[in-house]
Amino acid sequence: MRAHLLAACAAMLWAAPAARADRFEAAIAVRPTGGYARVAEAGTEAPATVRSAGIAGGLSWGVRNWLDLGGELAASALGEASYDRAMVLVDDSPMAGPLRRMTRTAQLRGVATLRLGVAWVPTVQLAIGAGARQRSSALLRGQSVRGETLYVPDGQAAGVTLDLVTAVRVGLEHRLTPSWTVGISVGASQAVGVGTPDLQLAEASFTLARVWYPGW
Amino acid sequence: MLSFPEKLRSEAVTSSPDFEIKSWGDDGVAVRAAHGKAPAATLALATVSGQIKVNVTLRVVPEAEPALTMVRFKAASAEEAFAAQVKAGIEQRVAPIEQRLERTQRSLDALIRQRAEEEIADRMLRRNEIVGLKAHARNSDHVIVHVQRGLLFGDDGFLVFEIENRSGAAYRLASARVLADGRDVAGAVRLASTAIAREPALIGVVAPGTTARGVVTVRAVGTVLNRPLVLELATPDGRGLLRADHGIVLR
Repeated sequence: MRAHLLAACAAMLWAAPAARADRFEAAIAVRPTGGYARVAEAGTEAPATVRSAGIAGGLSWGVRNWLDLGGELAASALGEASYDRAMVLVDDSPMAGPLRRMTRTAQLRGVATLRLGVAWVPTVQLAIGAGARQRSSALLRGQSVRGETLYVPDGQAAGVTLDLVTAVRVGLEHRLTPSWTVGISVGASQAVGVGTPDLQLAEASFTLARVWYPGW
Repeated sequence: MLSFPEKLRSEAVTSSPDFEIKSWGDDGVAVRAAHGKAPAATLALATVSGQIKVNVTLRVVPEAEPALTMVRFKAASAEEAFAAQVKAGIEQRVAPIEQRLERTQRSLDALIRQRAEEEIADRMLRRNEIVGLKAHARNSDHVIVHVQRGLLFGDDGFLVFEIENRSGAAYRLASARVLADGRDVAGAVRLASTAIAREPALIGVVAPGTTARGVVTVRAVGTVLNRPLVLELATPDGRGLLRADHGIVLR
């Protein structure tokens, strides 16, 4: 049973604010998310704001009625970021022009949730973890003898980079039955890129969680 | 001053001329010593009806001693006097019996305590093991039962449970069952209430926001060892059922 639950949790490649649980309870939760992201890019002056959508799933354990600890896996797809003017190098030659790029993220976070109620539970959540950021090739629009051409700037080809992630989330949870809870929350996260520009996410989400007393 | 509840006869007899006696109304007399060294004397008085006749000893006391300045004589009915006599007689006869009963009660308490201690010691010698358990259950009213410890003690077993009441109303525990293969094997149940249980039928009451510890006996625990047990706790109306059906196995 436990193995199945863990497998189901791992299968959800999208992370969420962890489910929340009273003392001795375990919870598994899924949370669709939507919001906005600020994406910085090398060679640009200002970050671009794009929409984001994703899903998250988590597993948590109530160590106290007011505190549970857990982990979550969250993934988000961001809209294409466009920058009106970028100054980049293409084949070691400086070029300027509009730039665009797609980003997806997956983050694995350790989560501590402060719980402040019984039936209706305001929550405050802090998370820290690591993430992977998959980015498409950046495309710089420029002119050549063949007309308008898309260039891939040096060092901005498609690839996956690592982030250090911190997040904070506040929400309200309601226990429908002894075994099911629902909730809403809003939160923000900061992804500090390792060799890449930072990424900020602000999201709202709805959470559905299954709660039970595990035998471990 | 001597006062009576009815009229006095006019004559009053005193054994000494050293005391001056004067009527004070028709139901009292005033008595005064002629001088400070008057010897003790007797004064005889009677009421007109003859119901009250008293002899009073008069004595002059030094200034340092307290003296009665006003004495009132009250008529007592025959029934009252008889009742007082009966009461005194009963108390005289019952007092030794009560003393004997008290001594017997004390010795009985000591005997019961000694027998209980011997029984506990015998059980402890036969079997005395603590079993860790991990069973929890909650109902929709946010009342939670935790069963984290069992005890094998002699021929019986015990489940130690806690009722954590996170609801806004008191949890009134009326029954506890321990089911083994559908058969109730529970014996005595005790709960350390956190609120006053006014109904005699209740085992105990857990106030809102508190946790109370309880114990339920598992009779003849040898017959249910290594079998899954179910602990069911219920309120008088059957609502608020708490059913811990996983994680209770005594081994």
